[in-house]
Amino acid sequence: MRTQTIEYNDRVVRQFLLASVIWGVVAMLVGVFIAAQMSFHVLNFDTSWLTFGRLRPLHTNAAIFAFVGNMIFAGVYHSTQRLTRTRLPSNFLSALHFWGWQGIIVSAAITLPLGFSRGKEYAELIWPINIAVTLIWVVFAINFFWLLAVRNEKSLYVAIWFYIATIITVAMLYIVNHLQWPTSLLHAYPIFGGVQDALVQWWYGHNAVAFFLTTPILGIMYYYLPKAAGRPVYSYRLSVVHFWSLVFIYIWAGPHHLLNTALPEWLQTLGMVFSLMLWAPSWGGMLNGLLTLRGAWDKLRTDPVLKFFAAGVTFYGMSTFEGPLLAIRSINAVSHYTDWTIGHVHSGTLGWNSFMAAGMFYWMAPRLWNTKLFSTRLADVHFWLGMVGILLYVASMWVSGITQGLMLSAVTPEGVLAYPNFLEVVNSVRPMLHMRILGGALFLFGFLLMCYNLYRTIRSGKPATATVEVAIPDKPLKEGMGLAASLFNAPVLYSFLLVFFGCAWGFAQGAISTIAFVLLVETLLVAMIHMSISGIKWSHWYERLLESWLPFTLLTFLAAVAGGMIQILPTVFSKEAVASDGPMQRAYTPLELAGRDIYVREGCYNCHSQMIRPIVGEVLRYGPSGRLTESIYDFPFQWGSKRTGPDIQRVGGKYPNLWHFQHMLNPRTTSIGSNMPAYPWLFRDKTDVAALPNKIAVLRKMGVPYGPMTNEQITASLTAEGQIITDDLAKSDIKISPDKEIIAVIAYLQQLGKNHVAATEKAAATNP
Amino acid sequence: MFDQLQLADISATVGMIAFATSFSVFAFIVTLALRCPRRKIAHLEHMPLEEEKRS
Repeated sequence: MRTQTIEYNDRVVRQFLLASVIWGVVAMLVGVFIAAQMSFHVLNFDTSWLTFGRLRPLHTNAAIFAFVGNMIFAGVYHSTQRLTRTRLPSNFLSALHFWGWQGIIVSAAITLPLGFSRGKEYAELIWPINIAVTLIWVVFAINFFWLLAVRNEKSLYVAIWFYIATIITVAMLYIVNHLQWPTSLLHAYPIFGGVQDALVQWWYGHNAVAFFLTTPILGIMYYYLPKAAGRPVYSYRLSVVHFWSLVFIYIWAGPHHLLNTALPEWLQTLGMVFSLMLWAPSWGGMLNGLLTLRGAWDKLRTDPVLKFFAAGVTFYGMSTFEGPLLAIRSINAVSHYTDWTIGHVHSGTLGWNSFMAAGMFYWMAPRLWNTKLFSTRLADVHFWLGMVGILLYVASMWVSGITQGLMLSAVTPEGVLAYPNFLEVVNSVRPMLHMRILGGALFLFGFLLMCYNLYRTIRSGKPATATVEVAIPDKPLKEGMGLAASLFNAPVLYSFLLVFFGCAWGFAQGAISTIAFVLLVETLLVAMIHMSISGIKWSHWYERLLESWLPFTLLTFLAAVAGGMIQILPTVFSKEAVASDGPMQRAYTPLELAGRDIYVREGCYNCHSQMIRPIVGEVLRYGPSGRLTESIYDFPFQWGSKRTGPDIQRVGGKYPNLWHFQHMLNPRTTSIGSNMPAYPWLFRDKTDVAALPNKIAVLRKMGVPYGPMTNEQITASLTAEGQIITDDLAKSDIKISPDKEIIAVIAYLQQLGKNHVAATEKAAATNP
Repeated sequence: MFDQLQLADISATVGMIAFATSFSVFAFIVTLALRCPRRKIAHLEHMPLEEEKRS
């Protein structure tokens, strides 16, 4: 045994901290700006790259991946080095991780306003950037797991478990949801379409919240909260239960984003049940965090770090109470597509993520620059500005969301809509939209105060070198167990048998099902008896597992992957069964396809849904509820998640071409009081005809029934169809060339809800 | 094999199995975790509290 002085790599931690602060300002600034656009449409400045539909993805991606992402990396690298008593093994990988991630963010900040989008929420970035994200995430994983492999501390603290779950689960989610087929250097279609795409997207979207915005922050909470309070976590055992509960349950809850839609009923039920189950572990975690402060509550008056942590953990509790509540189908019928969801999301990102980030920054900065915090009072002002800002924001969105939900579904005793004009609802919530701007601006102002406070703190010190004395054993540290030992042992084998017999019981029929059930019960009994006999051994196995990062990682991955597979695989492989239910969608004509891609490019899905739910108010307002078969050739699906404007699933034929023409030029001429921006560039720019042959070829490969078409036929079809619309517009003295983008958009909008053929004509649905 | 499945048929079954198996495995792991010895827990819970030198 010898002693060695370890010097931590805090340079990369400082870099990530500063990047998080800078991108946080950008994310929040864009957030306040687009909130103002909802109230004042002129702020779109009739400019494509400043439009709400393009900037909203920039806001969400910047908040999630740039602000919180950089904060996570700072926290993970800082705490894991200390928990393992080991320096990050590679300066090169750390630098590559940092600069690679910033390069990705800059690429996103350029491409999103320019309209390069995949059209899927929180997954808008185009395929070359997706590849870069994957590669840099792999760099992060190598750097992290390498650190674990050479660590000087045998035991793995619970925070590290949360980081492990984050790294492997985010990789899995990101890769599956970004499987796509490129049509050009800057465009691709996802390989999933319609309901499959919807399911995969929200499996990803929900778990991005779970495993990017929650589990790493919980790891940070379990490290920095005890550190700041100067006392151990209230219950380490509870933190273990918290971890395993989240890993087992969270991954199943994605379908709650698609309640009351055309998603199969069993998936909706599954999503709802598992969402409700999340109440217990989430509150267990919140209480564990808050009770860590027992005996230290007085410090909250003077210590801004604890103040932010306590409020952040409380918001975690509030958000995770509200989430399952909104996942109850009847409540979701009111809340979905409204501002209520926006309020819920922001109570999480502002209250939980941003406050935890602020607490961590205020704790870290003085230590990383070996100085004192410039101003505790300024931090207090930041706290209260942020708190009032969040409350104004969330309360206004609650009021707005519930108002929208109730007004849009209100039906008179005579059986007609109480508020048939959608704009009545838009205008009734305008005061709430103004209040949201105020709330967001207050939060941003508080954040800017933090920037100034940190700037002055950093200027008063200089980068510190942190070291620790570590006892190094003569022989290298051995893992608790090897990979084989972790898999081939009684506890894991019993678990495997239970899952196997359970599946056989459910999926098989007749005698096999009965035999499987008997074996299931028998295995359970044998396992219980075996455990009671050799309980100490089994506990020892678990103890050793906690000292072995690779087996632990593998088991965590298996727990997380199970939920996704059981939900997604049946829907993917039973495509024909899904498709035979109801009228079949036909393939888009070249002009409609071009219009659809413009619709995706402009981010119209941010404000308009294309999924009518089987709810009285919706069917009366928009028409028959949506069927799975009506969007099976939609790559990507465009069901949407918010209705700032009305649903447009069946808008085709509802208005003449002239109406759409005028509406896109200036929405106020057709819809008085509308807050939709104008799209003048669609009247200037030409449709990208050259890209269509490749797009159609890719869609054909993915199963869309396109017949053989030459480039000339595609162009001729596009021109002929465009000419019909321009001829129709000419009757109203409007002269426009058929090759303008607006013509393609009108063609796309006019076929919505009318683009299907009866199932019996499926074979004849090849186009055009 | 999933080509043969009719979604309506497996609706109740999948939900039930999913719940039962994940709960069983979860309960199993948590039981083992709760049996973790006190000395081990005491060591783990104090890990964040270790101090370092700064210069």
